[in-house]
Amino acid sequence: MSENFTMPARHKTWSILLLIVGLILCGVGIFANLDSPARIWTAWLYNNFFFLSIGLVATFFIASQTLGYNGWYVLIKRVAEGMMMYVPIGAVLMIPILVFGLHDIFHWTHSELYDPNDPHYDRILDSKSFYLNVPFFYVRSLLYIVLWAGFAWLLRKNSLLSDKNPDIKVYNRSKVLSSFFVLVFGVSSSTAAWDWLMSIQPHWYSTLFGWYCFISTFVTCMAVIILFTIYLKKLGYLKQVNQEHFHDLGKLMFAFSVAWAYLFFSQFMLIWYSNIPEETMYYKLRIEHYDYIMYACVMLNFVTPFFVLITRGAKRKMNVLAIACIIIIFGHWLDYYQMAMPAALDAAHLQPASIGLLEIGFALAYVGLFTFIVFHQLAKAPLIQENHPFVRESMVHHT
Amino acid sequence: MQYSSPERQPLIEGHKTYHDITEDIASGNEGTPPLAWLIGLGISATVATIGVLCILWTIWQGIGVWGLNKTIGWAWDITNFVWWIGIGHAGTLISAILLLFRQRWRTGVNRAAEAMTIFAVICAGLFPLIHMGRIWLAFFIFPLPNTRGMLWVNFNSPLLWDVFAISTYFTVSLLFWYSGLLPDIATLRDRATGMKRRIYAAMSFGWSGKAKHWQRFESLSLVLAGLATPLVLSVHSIVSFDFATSVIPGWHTTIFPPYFVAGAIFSGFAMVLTLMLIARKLMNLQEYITIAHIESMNKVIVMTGSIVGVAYITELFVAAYSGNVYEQYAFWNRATGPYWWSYWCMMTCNVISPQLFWIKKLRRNIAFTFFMSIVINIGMWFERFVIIVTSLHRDYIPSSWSYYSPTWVEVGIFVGTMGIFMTLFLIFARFLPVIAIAEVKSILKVSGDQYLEKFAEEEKAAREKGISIAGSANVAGARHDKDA
Repeated sequence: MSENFTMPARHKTWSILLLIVGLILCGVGIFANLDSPARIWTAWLYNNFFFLSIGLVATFFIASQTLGYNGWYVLIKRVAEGMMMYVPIGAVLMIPILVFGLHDIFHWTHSELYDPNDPHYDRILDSKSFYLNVPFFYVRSLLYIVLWAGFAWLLRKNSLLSDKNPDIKVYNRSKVLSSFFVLVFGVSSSTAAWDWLMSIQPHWYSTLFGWYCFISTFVTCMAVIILFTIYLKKLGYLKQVNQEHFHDLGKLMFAFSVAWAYLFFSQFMLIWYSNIPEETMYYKLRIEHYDYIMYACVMLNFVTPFFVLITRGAKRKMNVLAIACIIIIFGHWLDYYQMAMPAALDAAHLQPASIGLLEIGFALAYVGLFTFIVFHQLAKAPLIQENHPFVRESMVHHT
Repeated sequence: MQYSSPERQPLIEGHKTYHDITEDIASGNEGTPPLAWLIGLGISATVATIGVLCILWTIWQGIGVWGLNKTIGWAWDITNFVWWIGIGHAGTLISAILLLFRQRWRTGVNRAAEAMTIFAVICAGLFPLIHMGRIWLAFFIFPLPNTRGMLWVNFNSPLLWDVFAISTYFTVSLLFWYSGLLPDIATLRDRATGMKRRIYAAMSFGWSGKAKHWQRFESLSLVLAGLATPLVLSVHSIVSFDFATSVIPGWHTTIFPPYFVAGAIFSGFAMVLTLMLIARKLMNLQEYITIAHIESMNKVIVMTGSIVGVAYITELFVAAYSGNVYEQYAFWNRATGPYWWSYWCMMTCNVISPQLFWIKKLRRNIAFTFFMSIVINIGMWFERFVIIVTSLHRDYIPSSWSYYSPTWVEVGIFVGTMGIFMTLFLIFARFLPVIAIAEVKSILKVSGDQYLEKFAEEEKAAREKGISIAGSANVAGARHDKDA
């Protein structure tokens, strides 16, 4: 029964190649944009945050399934665990961005804004300085990094322990760990989104923003899990993963694509309807200069998955699912772009940009890094957590 | 689906057979009504009558008999409306979303929860109608072709969206509930005689349990679940738009739609627990609504309660962060102004106390669960009161600041709707099965206690023979194919 994954050499080469090509494109992009450091740092920030969030949401996925006593997902749990183990790396990569890119990304960190005698004095930002100040910002960022990486590591350790020790106590401990993680995640997923994305446009605020980012990455995380599962199945692993598992994963991806549209619409409609300047400036900036990206997000993240995945058959076919997954991942990556980049460029008095070599390079490099880490983690342990108390339920998962 | 991990709690206890299930549940609808039911009905009907009288008084006199004034035009009426709409949400969540999520424990509570949805929406719908003042003009809310010239409903208004959202929700919930009832009504029909039999026969639409009937039943329930799932979200989202589309501090905030939905599910589960804990005791249903069911519902409560808590804190934080003094004052006033007691009541009941459900012992304690369900019902009522009244009572012009307290008519109407709700529920519980007989039977062979014991024995035997447990999955798979 026990399955062990070994990464085929050519796939290893592929992911490393992707990383290198990405870095080269990135290098070209950086060279071409040396006059606009805001774009370079923001591109790195949103890419890093996006891929970190995918790993983080995979952790949340495992934790929430554990707390819900779910059995169906156990066969693919190790796939999600592999993604979870990207969290420590993504979290640590946040440090250089936040240390060296701070002033280029975050307009509010400029000290002259807080000096009443300075012509740049900003009364509104001054009133926010109880939260938006550099020391506190670093403390919070460090807390996220330590807590997220720590919980990912503990959950993984516990899961690996169960391979050697079939005692139910190991499983019970995973429930305790999961409940603490869910509490931490419930607060920090919102605050991190405020800190690392919303504060790029510091005058603007929206209470929904944190949950919007969460839903966006939840859909992406489902898509990534499905892609890895399909890949492993095509290589002949995970034989017991059947259409039912794909159907369930597809259902979640479909449901949360609609949920994303729901939150997008809620935020947009309420701001449009009330027409308060402090709030509409967010959409004004985007509709004036980045309208095609905003509409593309709606098409890619809602309209396409809605019509592609609505039938039962589509959620049970690996090829259809794979196409939908790729569209969704790209769409949400674009969504992260439009959340981060417009405001950063605007604050730095730079011309509106579009997706260029820089952004594509970062994305390719991160895809390479992410897949490499996941493959590496998958190869480290058996592909199925055999001593999970619900593993048989997952194996006999029928309608 | 003929296997369940022996680690799981049984969802049907007492080694039931299919016949036992029919007997146990259908017997609640047969024979002479028990005394407790008659007393309950008497009290509820009396309370309902008081409510109806108060409503008639309102219609006769006009809404001047309420405590509303120029500044505070919405208070208890809309609070009650939102509260009742919210309570209905648990039924739809259990019947639709948990069906799509393949959660087996839903079968024990879905029937009663769906019935509660319908009764709660009826109670909720009353309030906007009587709040109109001239209820005989209520048909104005529909975009009817008319002879009133250019008079036409305002499609830009969330109040009109409410009309469509709630009527759709009511229709789909009713269809879902009734189509699920068909096989069970047929069961009652087959056991009844005389006039009763003829009535149940008409109500069962000629259900005969043919394979074709079951096939259509299953596709219909999936289709209705697919329709009801977005409705769970849309109804309360649109209710939240009533507030959030405005420019009133404390009302206009983008988190409202999902936060209202979470709050609705939270309060709905609390009400399901309140009623089902009483029903299971009075109707002897402890073997069908087990501790496992209660624990699952308590988990939903701690989850939605925490989501609501995060939303409260987000609102507070963003008000501070916004730099908008009106927004800041609205929240400061909520916590420390004349209505501070309602704010802190809401915080304690909805955010702090449900956190106790992280403790497993408390999640599985029936008395504590019952107590908590009441606390949450109160807390969620106060949440709507806080949102509506504290945001309105001090508006932009200090000269129009005001204070609101309800009159006896408003109290009478609110208490009266509880009477209407309970009366309808008691009638339902007497004449229709409170537990979905057919659906409970469908999980017997996988979640019945004797079957779980069998799985445990098989796994133990396999372990003793040295066969790896995961390997024996194939055995279970083969058995599934044979059974199917």
